[in-house]
Amino acid sequence: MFRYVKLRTLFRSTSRSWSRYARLVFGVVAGMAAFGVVLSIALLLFSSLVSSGLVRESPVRFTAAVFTLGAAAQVLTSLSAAVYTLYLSSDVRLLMSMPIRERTIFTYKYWETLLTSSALFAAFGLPIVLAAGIASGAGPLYYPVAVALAVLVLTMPTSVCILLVMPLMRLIRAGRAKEIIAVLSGMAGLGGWAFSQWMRVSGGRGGPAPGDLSRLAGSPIFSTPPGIWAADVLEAMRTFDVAQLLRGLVPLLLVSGALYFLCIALSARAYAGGWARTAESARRGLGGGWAERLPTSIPREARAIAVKDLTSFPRDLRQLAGIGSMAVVAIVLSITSTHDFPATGFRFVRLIPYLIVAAMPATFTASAATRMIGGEGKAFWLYLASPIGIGRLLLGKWISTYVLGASAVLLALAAMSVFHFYLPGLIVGLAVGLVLSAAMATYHLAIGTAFARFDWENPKNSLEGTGSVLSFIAAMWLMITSALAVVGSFALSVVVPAWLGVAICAAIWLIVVGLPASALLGMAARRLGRMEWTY
Amino acid sequence: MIRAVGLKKRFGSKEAVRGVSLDVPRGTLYGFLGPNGAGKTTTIKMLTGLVRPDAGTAEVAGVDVVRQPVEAKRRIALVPDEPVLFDKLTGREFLRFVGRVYGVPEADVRRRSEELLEMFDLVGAGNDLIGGYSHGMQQKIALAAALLHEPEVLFLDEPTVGLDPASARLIKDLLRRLVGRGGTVFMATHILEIAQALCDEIGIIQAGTILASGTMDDLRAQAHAAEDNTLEDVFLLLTGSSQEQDIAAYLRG
Repeated sequence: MFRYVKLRTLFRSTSRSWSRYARLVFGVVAGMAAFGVVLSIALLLFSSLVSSGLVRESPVRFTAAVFTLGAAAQVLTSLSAAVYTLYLSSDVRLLMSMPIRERTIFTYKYWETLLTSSALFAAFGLPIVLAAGIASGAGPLYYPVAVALAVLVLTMPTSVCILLVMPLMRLIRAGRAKEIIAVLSGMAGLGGWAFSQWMRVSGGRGGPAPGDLSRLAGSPIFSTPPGIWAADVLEAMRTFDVAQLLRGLVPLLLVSGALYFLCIALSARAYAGGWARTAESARRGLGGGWAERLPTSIPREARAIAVKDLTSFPRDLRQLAGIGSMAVVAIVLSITSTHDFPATGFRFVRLIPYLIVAAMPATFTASAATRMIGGEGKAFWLYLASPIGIGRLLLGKWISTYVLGASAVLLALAAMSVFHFYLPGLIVGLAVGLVLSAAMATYHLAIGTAFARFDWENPKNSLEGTGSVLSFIAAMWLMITSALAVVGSFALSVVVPAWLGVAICAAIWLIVVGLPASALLGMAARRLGRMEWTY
Repeated sequence: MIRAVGLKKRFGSKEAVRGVSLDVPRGTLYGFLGPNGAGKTTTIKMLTGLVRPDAGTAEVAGVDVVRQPVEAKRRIALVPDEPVLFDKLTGREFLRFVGRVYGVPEADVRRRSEELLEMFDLVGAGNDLIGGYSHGMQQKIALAAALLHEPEVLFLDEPTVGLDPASARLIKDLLRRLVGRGGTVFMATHILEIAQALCDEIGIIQAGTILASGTMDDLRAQAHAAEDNTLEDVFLLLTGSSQEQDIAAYLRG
């Protein structure tokens, strides 16, 4: 009955909300597309490895690394999911007040956490495991067993994370925990990208040599539990080796089962005994004084909004991590750019790394701008109840976004210059970065206003689905037109003086970009003018 | 000071407010009573410019709220029942933001902020983030912000819900003082005792329609109630009260 009611609630909340329904459909389609692409690539890779004889091991051995890395990634996704399902979702207290056994509630919560956090592995890990089976000619039983093994492997980090979240939440407030987890996830992604860049550069040009692959197959990631246990079971099914089957299956069942039952029993007790309470500690408002230095010539209301936004900014770890990641990207690009773009040759080539680094913060500006209005959530009534005109409100939000975007451009270029200094590159990069940030701020603030959502639980959902699509199209439009303007300026400088080439291209760019910007701003102003606060 | 004529508002198929007309003079503490879903909050939202009426006119401090919303908002302040505030600002920063938006000189903002923080016993928490405040503290800082620019009309939606008795008493005293100085207060509440003890005039709304409005004596006359009848008696007489009687019968078994 309990499960029926929960499923019915989930179905209704999705089918009666267009934006939720659209997000679900988009998520399923994107997940299936990712699954298909990864499966095809992995199948191609495994098949060519087997046919070329580059590696002696069966492709199934490689699944050990997939399972182990999947379990490691699951730690981050489970931590985040557990905070949501146990602390930020409003149903735990209601369910605990009903005549339902605590174990039943936490079993349901456990599977909710596991399912929501396993999407990443289902889209990117499972297809590799299945491709290994196809490439090695495994029997039909291989595939359902692979799925079951994936569930067993993923329960381990999920159990540990649910147990970890409870003591963690005694120290950190639920809202703060979301920020910390988002930052950790971002750092993990950034670390992965930096590592891949380093591997690419240190590996030299051309494909991997047979020796590299043999060394890779001998790497500890292929012999680390729980991946090795799951791979042993799959390999044993292919070779009919009972001893190997038991060597993998027994520890896998024992460890995942023990952690699962321990997690359900302890979490139910911890909650019932009051040990799972969240922290209620007050936090001092640190930093933000620098925002007071904004010029007083800015209209009063717009300045008040910008000071408020810039004061709040450093207190949100997610936003801070966003701007910090620009510096990391710039440093990595400055190191890799000496490999990709040698310091000799045509002068335009030397500018490319600076142009890339200057354009990167534009994505940050776009993301910050789209959340400027909807990101206020249910606190937005404060603006609507105040004597602030629509123009002043948009101006204040634009200033906030632009200051953040321009700071990201300066930070990224400064970080780049420490490792790879080239004055013309710095000047051109700065000019392009600042202008592109202004355009991104205008377009995305307008889109963010026109398609804002205020009734969210996660600020990531503060933009309607249509707005997200438009935001992507706008970013692409601005990137492409800016790139064309820069390339055009250099091309024209061959036939006319350089300043004239730049002026002609800048003027054309301004017209091409400015007309849609004014239309978008008009749309945003109309939305604000018509807005009724019904939350 | 507050004048509404034939205000109507429909949300989809639900008619939330069906022709509300009000006239609240300057220096009045006006209590707005009604059962859940009667249209109290929607009426307040229309009077403060958060929701546009489908029909009718609303004037506050002599300014048309629909035609000149910014000018009207300059003269009023609103404290909703569950105020969601900027949780990454401290109490002091929030007051500064409000002061600047309303054009209060910086020196006055600083002085009044400290006075209000002291009055609401929030001096110690003034540099803490609002996100860490309890519900009662958020209610108090929202009220402090509403009073900072000395509005001509103050709209309150269930101001004492979630407050401890001392804070509730403080707010009652504060509202009386505000009215004593010539201000006007429009307060929606469920608590009939507070309304009877505090308000100069009371309006009773049900199903989006005003059933009665005026002083306590006016209400008794409109409800054909006895002189010693309390506001609760009058309220039950006017609103039909069959629901409450059914509940009492059910509890008696």
